[in-house]
Amino acid sequence: MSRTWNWNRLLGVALATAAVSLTAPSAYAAKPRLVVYTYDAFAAKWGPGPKVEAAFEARCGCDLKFVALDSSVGILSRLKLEGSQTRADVALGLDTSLLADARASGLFAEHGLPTGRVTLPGGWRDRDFVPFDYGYFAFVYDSTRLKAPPRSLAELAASSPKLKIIIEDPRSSTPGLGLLLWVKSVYGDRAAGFWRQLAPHIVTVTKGWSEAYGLFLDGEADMVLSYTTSPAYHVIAEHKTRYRAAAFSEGHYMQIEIAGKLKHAPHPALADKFLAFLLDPAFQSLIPTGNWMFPVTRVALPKEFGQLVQPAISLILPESEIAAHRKAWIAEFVTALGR
Amino acid sequence: MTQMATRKLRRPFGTGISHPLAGSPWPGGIAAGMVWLVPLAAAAGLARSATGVNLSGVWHDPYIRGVLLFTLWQATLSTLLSVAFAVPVARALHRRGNHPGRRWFLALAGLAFVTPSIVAIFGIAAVHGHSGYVNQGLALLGVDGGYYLYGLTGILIAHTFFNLPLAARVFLQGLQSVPPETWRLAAQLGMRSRDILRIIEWPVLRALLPGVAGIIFLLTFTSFAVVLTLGGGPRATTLEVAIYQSLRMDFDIPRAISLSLLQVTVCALLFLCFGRYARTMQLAPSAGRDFSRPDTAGGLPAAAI
Repeated sequence: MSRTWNWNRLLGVALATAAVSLTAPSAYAAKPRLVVYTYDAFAAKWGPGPKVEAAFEARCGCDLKFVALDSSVGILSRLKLEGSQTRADVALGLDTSLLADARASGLFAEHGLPTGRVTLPGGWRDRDFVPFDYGYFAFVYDSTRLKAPPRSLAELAASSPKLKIIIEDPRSSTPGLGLLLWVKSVYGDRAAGFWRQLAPHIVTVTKGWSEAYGLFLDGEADMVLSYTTSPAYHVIAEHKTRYRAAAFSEGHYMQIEIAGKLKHAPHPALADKFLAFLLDPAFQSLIPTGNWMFPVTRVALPKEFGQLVQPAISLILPESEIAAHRKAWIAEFVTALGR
Repeated sequence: MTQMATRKLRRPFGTGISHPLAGSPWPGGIAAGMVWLVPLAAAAGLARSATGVNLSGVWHDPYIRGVLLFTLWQATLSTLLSVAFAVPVARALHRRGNHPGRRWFLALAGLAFVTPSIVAIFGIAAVHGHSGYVNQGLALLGVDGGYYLYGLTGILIAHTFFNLPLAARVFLQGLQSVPPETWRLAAQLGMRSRDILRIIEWPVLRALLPGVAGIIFLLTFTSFAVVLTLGGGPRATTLEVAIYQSLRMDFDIPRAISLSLLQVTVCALLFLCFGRYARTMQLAPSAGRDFSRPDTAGGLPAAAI
């Protein structure tokens, strides 16, 4: 029976060691760690994340950690599930279409920052969230394949069925939802008729932006729903000028990306510092070629940005209307295209 | 496990091996409990924040009915195609043991299953898409292939791409496990190829078929990105999309749970149906007597499952 006694003893020692090591105070408590939830494209190595991290850590004496979640909707869902036990201090990369949901969740605290420097069309008066970049949705096309792009949504729907487009699904992607809101702000109650007219042009509706844009670059369609800033990437990074955005006369829908401080943030003072940093030129200057969107304060833009489509009309719907009707609008979209 | 609980420590005849924990239900029990704990805890956590899980409401919703029917339909067709075409592929691989490139083909077949969906989508679009190789070839012949990829065809092509290699490998392994004495007998009896198929290969494949078909069905039933992108739009919606929408976009947890329960129920029912037809396969002929492994404490003999 000495063998049994040895096994038990070994098990006891192992458990005791584990217990001691878990309860002992950590030796890594040197710098406070600011945890920022963001979407994966922001935190990726090829995104603005690494440069933002370097710039902020230089001035805050802290350790900035990005937690990459799969989308802006994913950020909000995760925060809702975590509730008051959240480890996050800041949520970076929510969308104005999610503004009402985010506010209603009660998880965000007021930022208390002056927003006079913000130069968004229409200004910014929200007290809970800070904008950090914005863009316009647009249909991007290959100018070598499509010589005369449509100049409005109406013209797009009425054009020959040979003109093919790829769009994203509003149920799973923010550009898809953006297109839905764009059509709603232009057509209102007549949106269902527009969708039915557009249906023969749609090659496919993809789960997310990457699939749609990739298929477009492979030549599967003439136009794809993307941003007015997408051509800038091709010009600056790839030196290709054939991809252009089509300017629509009804206006383009805006996507404003926002950040917010969590009410239950472990490091609220650091979170405030980070939100203030978002409006600082050190951060804003990284946006144009890092995130391929427009900055919200006055910083120098690369000269190629001057060639981009500048919408004459910026469209945006009030957050309460989006929150109240989104499900119904998506159902209308699905039914109209489902025929 | 219940059998082990009533057995005392025993030393199997002739081996002299014993272990202090050999008769104890604790190691297996704790391990099984921990494996069950993870999904149950996740489900309980989600259920705690859900009031009003309404399975019958979801079942009677015409939109969900339509989505469920489409999901079942595309999963059935995908499974049938994958399995039906895998049989001749497996037979061909088995008959041509020295064919050049066979090893590479098998290695690539193993990779096809784990290809990320976005990579597979772009690859299939590169071949079958509007600007793909097939359409370019057809254009040379003056035929316009159009956008045939985007629709049920595209879904079936993609699912077959993922699952046919898997099924073919499983069938090939089954064929390779037929003992050489059988082939010798077949040669002595002068069996033709169709007799071999009927008498030797078919029983092997029949035993493997329900398991493989079941797995492929479950995979295609829960397929998301491929169905949406190559399906052409909201017409091609699976239950996964509905669950994703209600959980991520609407944050409607009760509905997400109801839809998940519906999906699990349907899959479980189908799994049970397939399970009834699964038969055990003799991996190698033996005298038929069962014998326990020497390091077990009793219970089921080694070859029963």
